[in-house]
Amino acid sequence: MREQKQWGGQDEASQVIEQQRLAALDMQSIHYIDKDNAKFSLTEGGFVRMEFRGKTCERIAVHRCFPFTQPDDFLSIRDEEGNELGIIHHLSDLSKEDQELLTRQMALRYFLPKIQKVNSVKDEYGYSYWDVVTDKGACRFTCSNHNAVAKLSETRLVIEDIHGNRYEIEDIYKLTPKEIKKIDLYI
Amino acid sequence: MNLCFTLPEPERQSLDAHVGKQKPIYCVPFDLDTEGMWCCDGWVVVTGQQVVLIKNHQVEKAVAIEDCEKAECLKQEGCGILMLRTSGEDRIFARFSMAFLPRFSYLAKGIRLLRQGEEKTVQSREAERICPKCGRVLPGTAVCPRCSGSGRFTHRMGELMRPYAWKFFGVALLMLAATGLSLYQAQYQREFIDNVVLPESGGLSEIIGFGVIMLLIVALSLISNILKNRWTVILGSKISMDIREKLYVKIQELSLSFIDKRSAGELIGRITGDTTHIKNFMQQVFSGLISQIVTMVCVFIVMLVMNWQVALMALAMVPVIIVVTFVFRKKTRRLYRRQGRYEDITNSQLQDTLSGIRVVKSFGKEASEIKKFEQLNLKLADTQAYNEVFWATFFPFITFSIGLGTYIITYFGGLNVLGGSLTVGQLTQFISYAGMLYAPLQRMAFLPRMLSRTITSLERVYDVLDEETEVPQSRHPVELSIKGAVELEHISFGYLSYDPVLEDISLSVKPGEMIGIVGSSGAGKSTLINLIMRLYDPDDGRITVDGVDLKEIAHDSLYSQLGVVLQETFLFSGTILANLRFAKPDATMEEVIQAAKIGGAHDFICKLPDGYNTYVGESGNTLSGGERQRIAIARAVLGDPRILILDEATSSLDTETEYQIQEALGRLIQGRTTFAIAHRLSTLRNADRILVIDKKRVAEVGTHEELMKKKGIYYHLVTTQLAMNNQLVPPPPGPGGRGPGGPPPGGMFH
Repeated sequence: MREQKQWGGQDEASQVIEQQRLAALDMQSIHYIDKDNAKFSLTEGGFVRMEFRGKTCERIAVHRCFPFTQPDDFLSIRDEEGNELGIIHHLSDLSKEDQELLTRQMALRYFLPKIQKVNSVKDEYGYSYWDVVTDKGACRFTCSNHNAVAKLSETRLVIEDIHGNRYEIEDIYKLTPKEIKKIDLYI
Repeated sequence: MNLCFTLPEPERQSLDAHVGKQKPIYCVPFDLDTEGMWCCDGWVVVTGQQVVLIKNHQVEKAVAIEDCEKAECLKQEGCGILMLRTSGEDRIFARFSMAFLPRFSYLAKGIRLLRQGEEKTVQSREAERICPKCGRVLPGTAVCPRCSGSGRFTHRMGELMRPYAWKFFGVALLMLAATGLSLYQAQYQREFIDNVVLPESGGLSEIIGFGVIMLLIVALSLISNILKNRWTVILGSKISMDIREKLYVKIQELSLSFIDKRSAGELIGRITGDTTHIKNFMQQVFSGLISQIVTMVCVFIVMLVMNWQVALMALAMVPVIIVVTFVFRKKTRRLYRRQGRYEDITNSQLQDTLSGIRVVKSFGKEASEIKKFEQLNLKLADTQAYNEVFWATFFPFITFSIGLGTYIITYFGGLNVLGGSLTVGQLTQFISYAGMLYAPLQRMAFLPRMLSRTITSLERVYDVLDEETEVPQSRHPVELSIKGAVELEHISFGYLSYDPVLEDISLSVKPGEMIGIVGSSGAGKSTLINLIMRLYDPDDGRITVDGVDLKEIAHDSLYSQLGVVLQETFLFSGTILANLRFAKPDATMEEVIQAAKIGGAHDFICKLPDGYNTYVGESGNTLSGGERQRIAIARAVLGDPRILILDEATSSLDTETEYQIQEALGRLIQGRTTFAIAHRLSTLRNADRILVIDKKRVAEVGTHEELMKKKGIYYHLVTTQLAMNNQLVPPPPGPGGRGPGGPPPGGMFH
């Protein structure tokens, strides 16, 4: 038949299908990483290298699955292209040195300053201008008056400024009443 | 967006010491140190030969451009990293927050260009978000309304008012007349009291005379006020109509890349909201404010002349009234904004649950949704009650503070009357003047706010009006009768210039050839088609039609010979007939029906009660996705285009209809250059050549047979789709089996 010739036979076609089936299967299963099956090392350039399942990735990215609720559990390790290599169930599954290495790597990837002190919030024409002290130092930022604040819980807030930087208030009741009054209008 | 900041003096000196005479090409500050703490003294400078990092006023590190094997801006969560690869090692060069991420993306692209030895530098088309001068957010404009100066504002207002200069002059005269009359009214009252009532010298005739004259004054001032208000309202509407029209025309002319940067909602806001602000401002200013200010000044002068001590006393109350109103309004604004927030939250909760009611019910979550709403509702009710109580309690204080001024004048004026230095008539005149002095104050307290809002609106309007059209018409447009040869020459394009969507695409298409475009979603297929339609101009390279650059072809000439069927079919509000004729307004009914038949739309249109006169669009009949798509195909057919673009043109149709329309399209594309995007590869069976786009570039191009032999991406796609169809239907002997409604065996790929 004419098509038979074009496809180069049923065999090759089924090979392609088989490949894709395996890829799909691999995508669906969880590969846990722990101190026995993976090796981490710091690269000269300040990134982290990982050897796992016979492959070496020169620059891994650590993605937190639950960045707000369980920052040290379920860490998805991905390669430069963003494909998942494996998951670390608990950070404590790794050796002390590796834990430190990955913690530093996560600090590189996640930037979410925690607001500790509110100096002032000024409101002008639909935007609020904040002057605060965070755990990363003092800073000023600007928010739109619409949808800038996301409530993680009744007391925990994440505020997003116009550039997309985010700031966390871990517990609003840890702020002084005066500070709460300043931000009251926005939360 | 500024990519070359000016370095402060100490930084510049240490840079000069390091790089000598090299001038910075890019210079961008960064705001995070290596430990991820905020910092404010970091700079990355790129000269022709080096990438330099300056921190603490000192050059901290430097990398030669020729050593940068790779330069990339890595987006992290809430921050970014400038990564340079030197001697085979990825290295962190600088860290920054999201505020600088776009700038560093441009900078990385700039380093890559320099490394390739290219002359050109990256330019950012994006606007700044924050005014570099005052630090305020720019309201989506290129120039800061607060920093642009009042000259600009008055100039623009003048520009808008100029066509109506005479009418405004008339309004000004009426304004003066009304002011004069109200001043005179009090004056006349005084004379009546002092000369007629107190000496008891007049009789009935004087009193009747007084009544008549007062009536006359009141009538005259009424008439001049009515006229003045009518004129200002009409003028305000006319001016805002002018602006709306100018804006609309301009937006139609502007390129998509300008419109992409702003959402449709924002542009609608500018056309309706901002023009309304300007209108309201004009009406307020001309119908009330100016005459009130004139009145206030005149009143005060007259008061000074009459008795300067009491006049000054009256003036002393002015700041008190302003402060009281200002404080009160500020507080209430805060309260009502909070109420507004709760209203928003409650509304969005309602919106959420009601539009997701099926999900709520199917998961049996009614009770928890009710509880959630009850809490919000209670909070809203509390806020509302508090606000109403606050208003009711404190509003009387404002009335009191105004009244206070009058009491003081009555008291001191009364003392003067008893002392003989003031007559009773003068006192009444004083009291009515005090009213004229205080009444407008409440409104005046908010003049600054109103003014700044208008300045912003005006700036937002002129931001659009002043924008240069980015896809400009050529100065000598060519009228071309298109044969259909399309040439893509090394095209590169990105919606953001640091983030290319297509890179170095070249393809030569013969007249009448059909090109199938294949690639994974997001590969840039639709972007390529947008470029061929000239919705955007490529950043690099050029597109020619019959050897003429797309930019040189006259707008009308190009679009009248271009037919488009897109994935999302948009029908304008109007009849089906009007929608079909959008491409060719003078089409005869016969042509319309013929086109509808080819598009497979005739049958269902005839079954509609109103036939071709059926009203569709936002408020009209709702047609299904397939029906809309068929109308779109008919619309394209009617234009009899030389170049046809089909972007997933038959994706919303069921398999059977798709097959029928594919047949019709097969006839339609005969002799027309066609570009067709499709996920279902069987729809590309008529294509002369297939273009596979992968990772922004042309991965494969050739006939179906050539690509199948190559066993590349296309081969994989075809095999997978075929296998999926085989799974659907048990394969008959041989691999010819496919889903229901497919073309007869052997007809699928030939």
